[in-house]
Amino acid sequence: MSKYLTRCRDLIAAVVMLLIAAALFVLSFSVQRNTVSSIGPGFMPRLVAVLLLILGSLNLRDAVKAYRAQPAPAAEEHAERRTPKEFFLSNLDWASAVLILLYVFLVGPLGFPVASALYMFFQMIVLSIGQKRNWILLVVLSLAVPAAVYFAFTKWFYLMLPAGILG
Amino acid sequence: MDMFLSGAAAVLNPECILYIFFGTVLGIIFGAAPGLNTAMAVALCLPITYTLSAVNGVSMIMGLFIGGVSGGLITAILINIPGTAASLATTFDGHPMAEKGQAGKALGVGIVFSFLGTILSMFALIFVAPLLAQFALEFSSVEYFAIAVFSLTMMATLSGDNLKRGLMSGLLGWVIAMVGTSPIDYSPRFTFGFLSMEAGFSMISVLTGAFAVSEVMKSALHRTDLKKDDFHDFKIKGFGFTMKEFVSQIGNGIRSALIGIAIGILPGIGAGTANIVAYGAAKNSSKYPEKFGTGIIDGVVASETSNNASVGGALIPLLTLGIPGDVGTALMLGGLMIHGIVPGPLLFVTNGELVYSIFTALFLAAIFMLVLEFGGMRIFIRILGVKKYILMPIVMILCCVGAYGANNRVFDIIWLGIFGIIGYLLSKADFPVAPMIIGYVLGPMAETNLRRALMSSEGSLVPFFTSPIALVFFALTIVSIVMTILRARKGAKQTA
Repeated sequence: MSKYLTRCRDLIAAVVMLLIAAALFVLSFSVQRNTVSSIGPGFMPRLVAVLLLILGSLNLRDAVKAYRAQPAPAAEEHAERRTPKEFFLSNLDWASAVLILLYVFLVGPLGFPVASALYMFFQMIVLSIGQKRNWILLVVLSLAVPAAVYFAFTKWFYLMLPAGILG
Repeated sequence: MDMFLSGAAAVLNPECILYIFFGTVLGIIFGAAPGLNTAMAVALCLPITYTLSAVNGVSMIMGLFIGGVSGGLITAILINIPGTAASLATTFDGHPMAEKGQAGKALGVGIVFSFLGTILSMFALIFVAPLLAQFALEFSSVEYFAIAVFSLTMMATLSGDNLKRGLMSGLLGWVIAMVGTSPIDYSPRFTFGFLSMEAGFSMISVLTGAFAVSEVMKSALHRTDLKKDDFHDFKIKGFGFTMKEFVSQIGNGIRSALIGIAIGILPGIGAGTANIVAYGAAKNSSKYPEKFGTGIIDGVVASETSNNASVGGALIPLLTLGIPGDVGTALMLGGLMIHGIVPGPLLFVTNGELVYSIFTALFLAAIFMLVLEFGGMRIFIRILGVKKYILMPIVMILCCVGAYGANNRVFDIIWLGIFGIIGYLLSKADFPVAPMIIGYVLGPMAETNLRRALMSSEGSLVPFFTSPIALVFFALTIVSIVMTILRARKGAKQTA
């Protein structure tokens, strides 16, 4: 990642953190009190929110300083366009994040065996981009591993994983 | 003594021994492979431990930890990549030794001293822990609050070079722990009206999400596959070193073990720090400091003795006070709690046998580690050649089983994925993730004890200033904060 992008990222992260702290501070006032005590359930969230606000502001100041201190990005750097393939290759981590999210949300509706098989297959493809892969092995593993895990846990360990559409 | 015998007897049966063996094997593999960590190994094993008895489950986790801390030496020596931060200093002299054709000796020394480090720290654990537990029985919520506050300042030591971001990450962990019902009066907090949020996030979802699932994403960009040809060839005869060499390292070994134990006891730092500090100490007190880094056994001894010794050290506050020192022990805490075991001084009174079972399991794990690493080195090297693109998706689906198994809720699986992404986002934005776990575990402990103490004193703050133990910890807290600030200033000046 270019230095310029790193600074931008630091700035964004600092702002997001401050927003979280502010939200926490506001929400801490709506925590219900069930008992009469000197320190209620909203006290610690508020304290942590204040600490986060202080640290967050200091961190934002650092990020702004760093952002200002660096020279403006050269025009070429801005204009430089990456090919779609390069863009995709440098974002394989986010592709994996999407797969993981899809997987965790689909485990319930589709069931563990089906969701896991689909996830394994696509995740293995994403992680092996640019390497030689054995397609038969990918398919066999995607089917065999989730099936083996499912049966081992439901039959031996009595952990009733969601069966979903197969149940 | 009775307790010791019955605790040991509970472990010494074929089934439990098999679990320890399995745990140690898995620990070594995950410790040795760069890109895999002990958190993942624990995540893989948690679903299995649910159905085991407490003794079997905990014993297996002990195997995982001993194997995990020691396994890193294989890759550190043979390919100059530390499998975990615990073996970083092993590469300094271990790999140069391998390049000089002494790979067998380096491995032999590393393995034997890992074993000795574990055993020495185990003795420290056996003698210190019960005494400390006895002492801690007198603690009230006032003292616990003080200890929790002190331990929270240790978030700073886990922050690396960015103190502010480390502390923010720690506080974020605390916020995550606040979701659900509040301690003492059970008011729902930040549940946004969802009933499923009232129980809060499961510890397993948070821990394995932040430390295992996020690694799956990381592995998409950072390929860390190892090939068999990357490994240096080696030959080991006997232990690989002479008796004379062993005798020359006894002093170094004992010093490094003591450093490891002491660092392990301190909350917030563990094997990752111990190996560096012990290496530095060995170099400074050596008659030939200039030879360090060129491939001498002293460096390997210091690093490998201290990292394993820190495991026993870290178990002391975990078992006696319920305070985890680092990510590894936080996971161990999670593993214990699954079995309904709440670490603390009472554990020694109500569940004394289990404590001695843990000691025995630790001992067995150390022996297995010794035997496995000497006998199975070539097999481990083969296993380490397995492609990450196959391993990582399997890790993910087993994490899922682990998250689900804690409460049989799909809700926990969903949050496992979300915490994985949060953990990855944090590390992408240069926020260290380790302090988050400390905040997550210790934050609620501080709040609960503060409120409990104030309830029993009817709102008065006087007890906080009359308890000598609490005062000591408050003083330590102030010292710790001042030192952190001074260090940060010094660091800033140096870079300026």
